[in-house]
Amino acid sequence: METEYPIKTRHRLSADVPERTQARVRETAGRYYRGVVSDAVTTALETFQWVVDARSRGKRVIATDVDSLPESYEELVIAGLDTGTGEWTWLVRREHAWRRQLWIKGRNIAAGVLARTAAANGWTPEQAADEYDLPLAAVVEAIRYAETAADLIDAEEAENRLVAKRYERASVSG
Amino acid sequence: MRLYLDEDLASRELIARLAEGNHEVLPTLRGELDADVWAYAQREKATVVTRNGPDFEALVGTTPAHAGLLVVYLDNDRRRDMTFGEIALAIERVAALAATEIEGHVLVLNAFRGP
Repeated sequence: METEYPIKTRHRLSADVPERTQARVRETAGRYYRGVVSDAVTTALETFQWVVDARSRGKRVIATDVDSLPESYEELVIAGLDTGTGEWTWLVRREHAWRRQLWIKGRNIAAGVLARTAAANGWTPEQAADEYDLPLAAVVEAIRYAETAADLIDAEEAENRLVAKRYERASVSG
Repeated sequence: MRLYLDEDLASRELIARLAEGNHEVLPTLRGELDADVWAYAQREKATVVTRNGPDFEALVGTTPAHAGLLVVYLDNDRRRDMTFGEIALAIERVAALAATEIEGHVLVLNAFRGP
């Protein structure tokens, strides 16, 4: 009988890098790739390869403002960066070490945390928008999202509390 | 105190309340990486105030002489979530501590909310 061996789809690769590079890779992995360093490195290499391929075809790779985009262009898609969710205009997914709830686009404000903060302070959506310099529509979406993802948001805050309470106990005992 | 408010705490109300208490609040960076936020705050010798303790846990470990980290969490009972008025008061209580009790330490503001 022929033995079937599982096909190895991932391979170990190690490299010596400066401390600063290591820190940057880990930070990127934590922020965008659930802390998975291999995903961060793989995506970085794919991004680099995209740039090299474009240049080898005689293309220029530049950054420009949305208003200045030419009629025809290729756009690099980087896995793991802010992605739209279809259902929401102002909320985006973001790979984060421990939060899975949606975030306000372009801001380090989790939607559920914003909704909870507005409720705790008794703010109307208009007040919350003013307090954080956000579009009113973004706040309204965040509040609506928080209602639909209440269990997830509560679970994440429970995780947050666990870490905080560890320090709280240390503060009290110290 | 010289403070840096993480983005989800940087409301006009909290900034105004802290200013009334003669605290210096640095401008909040928008959409920046936690590592960059932390480095900025340390360069400015500012105590960081955050709702996301786990985000800064590793950074605290690599910066033993940091200027202090104040963590505030959302309660499991929503009625006990701290308002910005209560957070400002808790910071006032922390400010009354000796600098050596803040620098290099992580303090939880919920424990300073008072009775």
